[in-house]
Amino acid sequence: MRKHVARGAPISLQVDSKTITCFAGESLAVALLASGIDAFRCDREGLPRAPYCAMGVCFECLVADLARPDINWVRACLTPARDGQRIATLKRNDTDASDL
Amino acid sequence: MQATYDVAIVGGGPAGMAAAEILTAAGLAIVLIDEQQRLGGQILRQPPAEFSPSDWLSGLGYAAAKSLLYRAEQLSGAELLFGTSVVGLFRRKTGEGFTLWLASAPGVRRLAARRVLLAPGCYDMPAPLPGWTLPGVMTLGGIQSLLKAQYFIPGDSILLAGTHPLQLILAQQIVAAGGRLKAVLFAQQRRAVWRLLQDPATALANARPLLDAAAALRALRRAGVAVRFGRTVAAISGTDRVQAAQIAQVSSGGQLVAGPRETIACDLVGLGFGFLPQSELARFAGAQSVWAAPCGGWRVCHDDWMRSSVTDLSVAGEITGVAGAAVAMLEGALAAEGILLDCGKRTLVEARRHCRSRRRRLAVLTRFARLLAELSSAATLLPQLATPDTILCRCENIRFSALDRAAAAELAITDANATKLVTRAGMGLCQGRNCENSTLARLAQAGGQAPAGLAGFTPRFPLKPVPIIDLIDMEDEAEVGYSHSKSE
Repeated sequence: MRKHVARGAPISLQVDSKTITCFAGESLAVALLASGIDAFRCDREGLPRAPYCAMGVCFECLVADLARPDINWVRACLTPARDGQRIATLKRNDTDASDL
Repeated sequence: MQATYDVAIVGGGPAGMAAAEILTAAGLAIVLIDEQQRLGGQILRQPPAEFSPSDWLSGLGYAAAKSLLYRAEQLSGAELLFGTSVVGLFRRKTGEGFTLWLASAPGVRRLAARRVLLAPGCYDMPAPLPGWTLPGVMTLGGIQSLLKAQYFIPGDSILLAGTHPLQLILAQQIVAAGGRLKAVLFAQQRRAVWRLLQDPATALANARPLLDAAAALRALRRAGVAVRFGRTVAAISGTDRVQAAQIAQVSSGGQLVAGPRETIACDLVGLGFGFLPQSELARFAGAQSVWAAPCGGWRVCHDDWMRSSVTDLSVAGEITGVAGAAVAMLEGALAAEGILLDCGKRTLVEARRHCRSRRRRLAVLTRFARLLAELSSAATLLPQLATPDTILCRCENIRFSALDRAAAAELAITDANATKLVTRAGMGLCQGRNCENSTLARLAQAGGQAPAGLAGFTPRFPLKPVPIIDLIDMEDEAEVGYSHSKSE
């Protein structure tokens, strides 16, 4: 639920195959949550995970920023959403691939 | 390689800002590094520049820290690096100063500083209980940061449960924002919470957060929100996200009461069981630390001028033991005065004079912080909530049963590192931040000893995960900061 406040300009981004709109200044975490996306990534049992700490500690809110194919993920809670950004939620295989 | 910055401050919260203000006023070249996009830390998590809020953190409890924030935002002479994680802290080969390894969206780089002040704050106590990995289960601080900085509530039907009085403050903020709270559950009995609110130490400390909590309790009653005591969330259920929480009774001795459990339907659960010092970087650098009784985590030891056991490495704020923003601001100031003393910008007489009233105030606030830690401790309750099938390590999906098996086997499982090797708990991306405390509590329970005597995970480089490509692509000349040196 967005509380009333003067936000930035509306922007849109693509998350998987879906186009969502949010507002400049919002984090990727809020952009996704406000669009009803609950599963940011899958855990090792294939179950959905979503932001837990919202401050960069837990690494539960990882998503892929497709503009950065060289890295596996970003923390959605720390990453501001950008207009035209292409994001992929992490499916089971992606999470396995992010083994460090 | 010459030293560049005089002081690197890690953390832009109350402690870091208070230190930066004093150090820049004395003419030192400062760099301040924070993972967030703006100054303030978690307590004053600011909305992005694109937002224009008119009512941001209007509560009285925030007034002193906010006035520091507005001064800190005007500071000249401090380089501010946001969106940046400090992933390494090494003493230079020359023996003088430190190299800090920084990771941010553009990549990894290094900078050098003669002295370092660590003021990284704290994070929410992980609360492993059945269902705690479901989407819609968040920490109290996590929900609060989304509300403070993004004006967003990630649920329509909210349950808060825990032991920390911050629950009352968040509850009031949620109600004021138009959110729908189902209930606020305190595991303690009502009289324990009231004892805290009414203790002379609270009044003497003029503990704004807690005086606010008393007002919050009244406001919640008026808003018709059930604030219940001697109750806790024992399990959370749902398929793709939270749908309900199962509520258990807690005895006055802090024991879960067996028996039928009440179910509360909700889609967001906030868990508020206290906080842990963020001490990994200090421990990595070799600073001595001790178990932060009663709740756990490691608090970094320091002397009267906030110097750690490592030369030229100071600490301030929650890293020395979670005690709130007022203490953090005072400690940040003491650390700054200590640094000025060490680099010859203050005489001992001057530094003492600058700190006299701060130390008196600190003594009062510390008494209150101890009382708060004691009365809001979840140390007895949390181990009871973790069933064998509960996930211990969120990153690797390791359950408590795996730890129990390892501890029961003929293996020398006597510390967190051994557990990690055998079970993989602590091996994942959060690097044990969410399972170290529970691991130690469980091992202590199994061995019939105090967690204080057990060793935690050894912090390893990089302290936050970094893409290998960013390390490979580091350019040698990427050490930033030469142009900022005032000392060479």
